Amino acid sequence: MSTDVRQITWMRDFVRALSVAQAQHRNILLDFTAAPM
Amino acid sequence: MYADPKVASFIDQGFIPVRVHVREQADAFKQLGARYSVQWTPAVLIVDEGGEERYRLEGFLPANDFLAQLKLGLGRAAFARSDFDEAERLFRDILDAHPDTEAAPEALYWAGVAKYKATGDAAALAGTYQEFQTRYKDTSWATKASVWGK
Repeated sequence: MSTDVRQITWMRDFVRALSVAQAQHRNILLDFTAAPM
Repeated sequence: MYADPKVASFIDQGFIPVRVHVREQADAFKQLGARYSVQWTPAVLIVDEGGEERYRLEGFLPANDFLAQLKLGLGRAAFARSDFDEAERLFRDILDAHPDTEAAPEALYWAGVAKYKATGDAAALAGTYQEFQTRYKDTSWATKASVWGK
């Protein structure tokens, strides 16, 4: 059975994420949460 | 959170996703929370590659509304970098895919502005005013666009 459910791979290091965003010309989705991880 | 496959897929394809837990990553939250003045969760920020915040969502939204708001944020980010064609495309996509969300009338407004910015043709604003006569007439965005019909 195929599935289109995709897990999000969250990055934890914002500075590194910013470098990736610059290299790929993408925006960052910065999610602040207090929910159980 | 983000168990909906459409939301997860959209985030995965459209963004570099970064999650900060306010307690479990207290140091990161102290730093980033102060940088972006985050005082309530959930707070989801769209941050461009220069580190500038372009859009913010606070509080829970159902999947369809959340997806529409993410597209609105991407549209505003495209608008901010003067990519008006891409911005209009994103705003129009909200009207096609999420017409019953609160984001839709706002998207219609900004689609008109993006088209005007791209073309310099005031007919884009007049056309948007006309579109507001047929849908989303009782929204604040229709009121904001009402000056374009004069």
